[in-house]
Amino acid sequence: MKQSVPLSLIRREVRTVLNMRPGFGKTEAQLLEFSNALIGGGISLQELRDALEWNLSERFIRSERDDEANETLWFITQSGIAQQNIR
Amino acid sequence: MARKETADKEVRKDAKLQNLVLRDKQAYEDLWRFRYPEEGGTKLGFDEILIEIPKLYGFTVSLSTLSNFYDWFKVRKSIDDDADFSEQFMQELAKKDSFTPTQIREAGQKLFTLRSIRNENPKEFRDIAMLGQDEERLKQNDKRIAVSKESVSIQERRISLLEEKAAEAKAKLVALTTSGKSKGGITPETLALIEEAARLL
Repeated sequence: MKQSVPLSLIRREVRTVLNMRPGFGKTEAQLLEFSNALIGGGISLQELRDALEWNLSERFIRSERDDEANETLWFITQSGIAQQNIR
Repeated sequence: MARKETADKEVRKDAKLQNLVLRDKQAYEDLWRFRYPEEGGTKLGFDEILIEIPKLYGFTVSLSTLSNFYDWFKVRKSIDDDADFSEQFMQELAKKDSFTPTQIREAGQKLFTLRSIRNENPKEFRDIAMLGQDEERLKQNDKRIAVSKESVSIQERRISLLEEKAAEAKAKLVALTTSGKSKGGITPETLALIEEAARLL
């Protein structure tokens, strides 16, 4: 049976990845790969998108559309960095 | 692969090692080489690294902390390598006068994104590509639905117009039959009006 990953953990690890070299935007594919690497696997694309949506609603992250590459790039915000520092 | 429950704890015990490699470039290189030595080097096991850390940095860590740290470090190193490469490229571009800061930043970002693809999990990448195709299909469906809706709207407007004309014709007929001019017979003018009304109805 597939073990579900707590949403709170996915939300946080998404920020962890975005907080690494925050000047560079990350694609969904990168976030999926790296978040899974941090957690040990098990995050689906839908779960990642839910986590992104939540972080976006909290203004911890922001997105930029790259129309030329047809990609959305994700960045951590100052609020997101502050949130990461609360342990 | 089993999920690591320890990663969900509120206090991250691996912060010491993370902070160390972020502020000390030498520690960064050394700790990386312990697990991923250059050609001809010896890879250290976690048990050996656990002995090295107190000697080199003056603090101890647990095995699970070390394991979590290296999960984080692998991601960090991958991102750092791509980001460093992109930054070098951006610095080269900045030496030329022909690029604006925005163009340089965009080029660096593109390079960073492109470089990450080589490390991409092929299955996930394929899934995402498929998803992109699905999204394209959905967009096309949306367009088709929009065209259908427009067509229905035109039909509705046409029906509404016909109803208006029919009501108008009916009103003319009623006016003719009830007017004082009507003397029992049908004039050619009245007949033409009846025909016109019949066409509209």
